[in-house]
Amino acid sequence: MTDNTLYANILFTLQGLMVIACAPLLLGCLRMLKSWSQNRSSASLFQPYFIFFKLLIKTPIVAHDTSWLFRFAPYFYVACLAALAFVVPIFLYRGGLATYFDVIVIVGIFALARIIMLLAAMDVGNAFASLGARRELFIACLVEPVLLLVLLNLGLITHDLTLGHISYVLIQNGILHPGLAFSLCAFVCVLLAENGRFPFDNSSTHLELTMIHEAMVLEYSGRYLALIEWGNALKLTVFLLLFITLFFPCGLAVQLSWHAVLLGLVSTVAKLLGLLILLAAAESLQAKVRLFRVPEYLGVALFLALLGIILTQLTGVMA
Amino acid sequence: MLLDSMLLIWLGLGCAAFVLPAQRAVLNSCRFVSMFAALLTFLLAVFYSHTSSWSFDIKLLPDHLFFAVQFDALSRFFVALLSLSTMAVSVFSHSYFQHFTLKQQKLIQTALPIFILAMLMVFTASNTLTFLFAWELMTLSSYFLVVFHHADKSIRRAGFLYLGIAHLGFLGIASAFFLLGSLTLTQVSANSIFVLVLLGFSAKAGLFPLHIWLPEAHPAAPSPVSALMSGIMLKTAIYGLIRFSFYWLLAYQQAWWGYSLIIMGLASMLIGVIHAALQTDMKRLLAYSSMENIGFIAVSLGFAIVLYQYQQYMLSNVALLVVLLHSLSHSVFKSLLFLSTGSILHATGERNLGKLGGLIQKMPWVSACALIGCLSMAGLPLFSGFISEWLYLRIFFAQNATAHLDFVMLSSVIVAISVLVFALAGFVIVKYFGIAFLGQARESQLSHAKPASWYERISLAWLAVWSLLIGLYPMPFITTLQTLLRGISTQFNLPQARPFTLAWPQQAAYHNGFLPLLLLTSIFLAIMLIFLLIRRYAMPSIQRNSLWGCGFNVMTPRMQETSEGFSQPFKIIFAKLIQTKLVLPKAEDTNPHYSAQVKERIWSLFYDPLRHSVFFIVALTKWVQQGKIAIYLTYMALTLLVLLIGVLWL
Repeated sequence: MTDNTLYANILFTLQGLMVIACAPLLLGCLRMLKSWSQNRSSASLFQPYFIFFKLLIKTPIVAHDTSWLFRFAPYFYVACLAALAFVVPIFLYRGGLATYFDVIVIVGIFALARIIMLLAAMDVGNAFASLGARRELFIACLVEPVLLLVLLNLGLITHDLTLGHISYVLIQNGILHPGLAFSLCAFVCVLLAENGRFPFDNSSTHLELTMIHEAMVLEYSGRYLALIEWGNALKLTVFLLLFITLFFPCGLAVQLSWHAVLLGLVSTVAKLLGLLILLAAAESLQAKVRLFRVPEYLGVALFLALLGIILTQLTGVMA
Repeated sequence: MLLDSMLLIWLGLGCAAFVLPAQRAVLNSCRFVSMFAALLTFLLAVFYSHTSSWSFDIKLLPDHLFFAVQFDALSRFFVALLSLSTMAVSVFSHSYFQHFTLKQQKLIQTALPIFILAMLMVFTASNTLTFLFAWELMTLSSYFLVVFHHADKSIRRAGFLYLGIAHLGFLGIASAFFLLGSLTLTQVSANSIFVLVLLGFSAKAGLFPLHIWLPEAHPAAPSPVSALMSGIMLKTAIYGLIRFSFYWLLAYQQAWWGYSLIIMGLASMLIGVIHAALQTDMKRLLAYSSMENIGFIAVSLGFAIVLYQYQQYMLSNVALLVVLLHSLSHSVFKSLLFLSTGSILHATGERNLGKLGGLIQKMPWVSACALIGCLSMAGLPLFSGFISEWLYLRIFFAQNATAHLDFVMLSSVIVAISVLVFALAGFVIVKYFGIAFLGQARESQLSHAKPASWYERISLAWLAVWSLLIGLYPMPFITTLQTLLRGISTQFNLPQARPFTLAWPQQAAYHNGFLPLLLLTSIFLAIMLIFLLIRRYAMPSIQRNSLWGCGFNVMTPRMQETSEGFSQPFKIIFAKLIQTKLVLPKAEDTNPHYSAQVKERIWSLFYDPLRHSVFFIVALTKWVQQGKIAIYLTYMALTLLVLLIGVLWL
């Protein structure tokens, strides 16, 4: 694109840091939209940051008999997701590390982060935390294949498996491939399930029997909980940005010029807002399903993702 | 000559333990020597790069029968794989078998070196006699190790099942060799050879539907033996399949050979992983997981054959790379996990997951090594299993859709099943590690568990280091394997990649790939940064307190998740694929209890009817056996008469 690699690298770094820093803002925004749509008055947009600092200065209470794994896991969780923040784009068409971590690795990193958290939940020895872990794992096992198939389909359409290349080809050719429609539906399911959203999970519940993700981190407090909350916000942000990159990348800057970057930023913010509005609306309109209905939803998602790939192969791949 | 002397050393070790009296000093020195023998085997495999062959006559045999061994690139790779696990096992068993009785130790010190010798001979055999002899020796020696605790009836049954299926396999392999040697090969005979080979080797590998011995025999054997059986012995079948399909019968290879391997492999993967998720016995869980991994290797081998036939040589090359690489990493992490199980068994005497818990406090070394093994088994980035899965998934992606659309369509379904299996493998490891090592001790006697001895720690650490090494710096392994593959066919010519990147060939325009070291560095840097920032702003101290008791005042360790409960969701959604026997308590029971037994469907669908039909035929024909000598003499006279008439008439 340009020879000015230093300039590009600075932008890439800036982009990654921006994802990490703005993640709680996104969550605040979602909560605000959700409150409004439910006819409640909302907390401040920056409430997640306030909660973060509140948790940070509190002394964490750690249960007896927990090992190093319990205290180490939150750091690892956030670190994995922070590494992913440098892969997804905000204003440039790719993140800085996107050439080195292709989509299979992205799925792998998500899985690694999740499994470490699950093990930490099992480490407590609380019946409740392991219950959450088992439910989370149950859903994750069905989500991971769908995510991988969706990403493989995108890779098939654009002939390469790195995120940067996928979005580049999509931007340049403005592809509307029929296989994409199925992948889009499947990805929406993944996005909701993976981030503990309706109809799979209720992220703000405090009813023990319905919790999934929140039950898992029940024993965490203080700075550890602060980190996990930040990590969850980061995960939602990364998924939303992935959604934008994979399905609606138009507007992202492919050249390093000021107005292209600015346009990219503005378009991403607009798209994020749109997605958040849809998400808030969906969350307000839907009820949470029973745990054993979840495999049905995800089974449908798996078949949609598979159909997407088959359709792509049948109709032939474009350049 | 080096290889000969290697074989002789192992033979000598086995014989020495057999001949010498069963005393502690003798057995200890046997074990010490076997450590050195393992080290020598490792050095031989790593440094001895000449491809050469030897033969040696044994005067007692007829002239045309002699033993011959060779050491080409493929043999060398598999010997290296053998030596990695053997080193760990020989160090581990130094302390593991100490608490067995002297008689038992003597049996093990006799059978174990013979078992290793037999596998070494299988990998290096260069004529039919050597291969078949070694194959049978391997089966028999491992049989003695499996039925080691033979006082238990279920173990004798397991051993018998193993012996039966292994000999069914032997029949297939022996007839395949017979056909290979005696005919001028045509396409028809090559096809029938492959069918026999597939029968024979799938019995040894534990591929569906001949896998039923695997979950019975592995738990029965002592842990170091299970480590060898699962880590290496299953790979002898993969070795044999590669030899037949890519060395001896390459000119006659057919695409449907690959398809049959893919179907069997996929079935093994799916059944293996579902049953692994449902087990409560640690070693059964690992045995089913071995079945899954062998299934994965078989699918890759099937892909290699199909793609070779479809002239997509580059992809076929990568598929073979996956076969070898995953064989290597599976043998390392599965040995590691079986040995960790052995350590747990040694320390607690308990094999049931539901009675363990909290071992990460008691056995920090073992748990750290087991964690590495688990994460490798789940195929997570930074660990060894991921590399082969990465390459495997990219094969699907790079297929040429215009040439063989039917296969491309089929492979979309295959990839969907495979990724489902990979995700379920993650569930299996969380269950294994989470229930055994984490949480609180579920039984009171676990508080007496003592940490593992230094021998055990060293052997576990040795395997863990290899597992990490393959995961973090895979290129040297891939380059070595690529030189091996170049010897198979001139079509296998992947370009050399850059040292730190796991890259996909033929994509010069976009220099993409996977840098495990970069990932490690970025995660490490992120952790350090977060840690420093948190230190800067947060309270440094922590406060220890008791668990939140969900509103109850008393939380006992027995209230934790059980291993049955943990896999309950899968028991429900995969109910169609498994067979569960539930015993529910009745309202009037004074001592009510609940039990659920998970069994494989294949027993009720295939093996039980088979057994019943055999018994039915036996019942019909048993009147022939009257048990009186007069009757048998009559039979003999009648047979003689019939034969005489036959001779005269002809």
